[in-house]
Amino acid sequence: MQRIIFVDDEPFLSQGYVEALKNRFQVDFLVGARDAMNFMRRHGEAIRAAIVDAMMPTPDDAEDHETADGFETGLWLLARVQAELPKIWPIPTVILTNRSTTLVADALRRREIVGDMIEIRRKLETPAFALPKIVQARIDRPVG
Amino acid sequence: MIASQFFSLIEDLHRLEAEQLDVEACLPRLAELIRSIAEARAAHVRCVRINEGESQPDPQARIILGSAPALEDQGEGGPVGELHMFGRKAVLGDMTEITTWVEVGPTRDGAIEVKDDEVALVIRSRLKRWLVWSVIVGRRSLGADKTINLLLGERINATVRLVAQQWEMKDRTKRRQRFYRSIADHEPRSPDEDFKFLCETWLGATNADWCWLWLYNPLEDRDKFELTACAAKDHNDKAHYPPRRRDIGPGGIGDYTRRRGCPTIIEDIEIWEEKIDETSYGVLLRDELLALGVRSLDHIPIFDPPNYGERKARGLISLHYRKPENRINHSNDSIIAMGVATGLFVQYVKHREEKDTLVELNDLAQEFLAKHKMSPAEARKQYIEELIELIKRRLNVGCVSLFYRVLDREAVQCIGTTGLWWVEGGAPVAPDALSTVVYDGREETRDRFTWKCFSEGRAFVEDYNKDLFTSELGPKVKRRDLEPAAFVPIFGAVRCDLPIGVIRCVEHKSPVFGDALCEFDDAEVERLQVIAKQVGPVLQTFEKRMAREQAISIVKHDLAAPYIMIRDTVAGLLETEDLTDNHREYAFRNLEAAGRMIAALAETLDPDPLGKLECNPEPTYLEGDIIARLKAMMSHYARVQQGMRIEFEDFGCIPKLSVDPALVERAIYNLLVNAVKYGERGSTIRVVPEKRVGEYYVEICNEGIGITEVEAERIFEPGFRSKGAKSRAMGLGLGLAIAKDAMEKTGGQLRLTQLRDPTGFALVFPMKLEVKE
Repeated sequence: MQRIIFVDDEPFLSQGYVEALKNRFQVDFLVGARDAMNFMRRHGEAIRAAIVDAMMPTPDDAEDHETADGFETGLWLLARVQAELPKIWPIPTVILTNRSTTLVADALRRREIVGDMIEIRRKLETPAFALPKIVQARIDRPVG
Repeated sequence: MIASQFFSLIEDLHRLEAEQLDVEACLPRLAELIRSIAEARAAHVRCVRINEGESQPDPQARIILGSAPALEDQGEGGPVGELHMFGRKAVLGDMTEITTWVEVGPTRDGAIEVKDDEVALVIRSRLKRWLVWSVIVGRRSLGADKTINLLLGERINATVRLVAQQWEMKDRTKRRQRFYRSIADHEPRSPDEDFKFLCETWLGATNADWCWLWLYNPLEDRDKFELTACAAKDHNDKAHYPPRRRDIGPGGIGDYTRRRGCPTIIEDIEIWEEKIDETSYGVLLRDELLALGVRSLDHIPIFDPPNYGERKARGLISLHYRKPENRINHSNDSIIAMGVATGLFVQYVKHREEKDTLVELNDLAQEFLAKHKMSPAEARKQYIEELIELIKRRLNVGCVSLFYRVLDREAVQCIGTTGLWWVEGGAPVAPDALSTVVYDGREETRDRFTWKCFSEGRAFVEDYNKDLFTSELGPKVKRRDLEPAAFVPIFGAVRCDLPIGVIRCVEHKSPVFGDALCEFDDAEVERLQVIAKQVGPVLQTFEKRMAREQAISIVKHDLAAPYIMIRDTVAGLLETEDLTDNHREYAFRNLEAAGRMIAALAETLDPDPLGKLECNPEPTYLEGDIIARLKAMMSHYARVQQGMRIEFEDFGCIPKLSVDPALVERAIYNLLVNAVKYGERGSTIRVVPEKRVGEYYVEICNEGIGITEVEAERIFEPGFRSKGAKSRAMGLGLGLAIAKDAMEKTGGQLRLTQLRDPTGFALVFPMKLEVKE
């Protein structure tokens, strides 16, 4: 089974997605960006894909302005992985958010997070049962 | 006879009052007067102007000719060095009053027909700045007795001097009139230009060679006059500007003048040893003044009209003369009156500038506060950019920075700047890193000027070259000389002790010394304060809008999550064919918790979430009517969210209470949600009821992030979130405030009982709420 991570600050509200993903993947649920970063440092090379919430609390090791007061913590995490763990970057990533996809796309550009491996999906338009296929498609997508 | 003619001439001069002083126009009258005095057949008067400071006329100057009525016009006059009368050349070398006695002979001077028995007498006199030759033509017998003629000459000279005095008086009056008219008619442009204009007007009124305007700066540690504007009679005469920035401190002549409230006039600085030596003029040493060519100086106090009674000068006009004799001696009262008018003008310029600035600030605020389609953060950014440009332009400064308070921290943050220099390496801060520039009062930053201004809430200026980011620079730091800086606090709409921000200006350019940098004076700091006063409420409005937008974004985000959960849970229920009881129970609790979250979130969207709480008390069992409803749902939530357990102890000790069950449920729900969110994963939350003296007590404890002593003081404040809480969950900081308000509305209390290990909050119900059966 392919190993993926699901990064969100709300385990209770993410159950539906996590349960749906578990039918196809080995899912590591990580609460918040700090846990996710620590996990990536240790197991980054084993991860095939990441599902990341955009809006999460600012971790202890970041300033509020770095994450836009938490509104872009998921993107801060990706930028950090890109800078700190170049060996595993780019990771096929789905940014699963309740924020506007345009805003998130702008923030990605602003933060110079490169790579065409990132897909932005709104939770409202993404039912739990559809997420595994989306993630699989992202993993299978040819690079370049 | 002669007296009456003289007074007739004076009257004529008065009639000319409405016009510019015109010596030429008066010459025929003067000639007639002289003819009468001499009882001569004819007289004419020749005049040549002497340049200021010169004793002899300019050789190139033209002689102005005036004739008594009996003589025809003599034409263009002639060169100054020569005077031809009746065929003879009169030499004008010396200053004797009766210069030449000439026999009448054939004339070369125009059409005058001179009879053989006549003589001509040339009398040289001195008016204020004119040399006058009175040429009298009369009978030979007139000139027969030279003694008589000498007496005649003296008399004519005395008359000429009287006329000169009259002319001088008229000149002074005219100049004062022009002075008042000029400053009254002046269309203000900018304070710098207007103050320079004022100096130029003083030059015109007094004949001084140059004029300096000083304005008093009463700011703390200043207490001195500061040079605000300069003008020289010869605009190219830069050498006569002060060579460098100097202020008039205590003890100088400026201070002496200010304290006396009267003009100080020093006719000749070379003979006025006493005070010059001692005070060094407060600005320049006497030798320096002499080197500049100054021989005489006046200090004239400027009064603000309200301060005139107290005679406290708000400023000074310094007039400097190369030649003492060039001064126009206005009377003391006239000079004081001109000082008062100058004070009015200064005040008017400042008020006009203030008004213009206010109008521009108002337009700016209207423009950007009305940009509703733009995010408040972007609108504020653009507003600040425009504001900084306005301050740069109005205050003539090169670098402006705005700082704003950081909520929940003892710090101010840079929210806009034309360039800050960061202490690390002395490199400029990158534009996108501006928000990182934070003066934090908790660290070793209390000596920093911006923080000082913010924490003390007072304006001040610093005039020494010191890096403003640190008081101690390492050897690697390239220090950039940050020139005199002004710090002005920004207060909010409702002024309280603490400001909400700071305006910092550096690189102040001098209006006097071109691009050279100079200190801020009192007037400039006042102007900055006016700007800060207008900016405060606008920035506060942006702050509120930004906070509200952020709150709405958070709630919008959080509202979608439980909806998605409901959607997916329902889809799961529909797709699963063989549902077990456990499945149903699990799904039901998910739906219940999600529904409760939506309700709680929706309530926070109210503009005043605390004000909407209403109390409808009814007999209520805490356990049966409230805990029973929350128990299963919250236990499920705690387990799924954090792997936590909630232990509810027996509520048997608490009887039926007269409370609003909805309010109490809300308080308990909020406390439990917090206990889960900020609790240790896998730990246990305890809900412990207890009967105490005079009250019933329900304590909710968790093991989690805890609360510091400092945070405890603000923990119930709406919108406050501790640093630990911020790093654990997004939120608005309303949960505890709502819980506290709900408890108080229903007659109880919410108390923080323990800060950490475990953290405890207690719902307190006074025994009087007990329902007696």
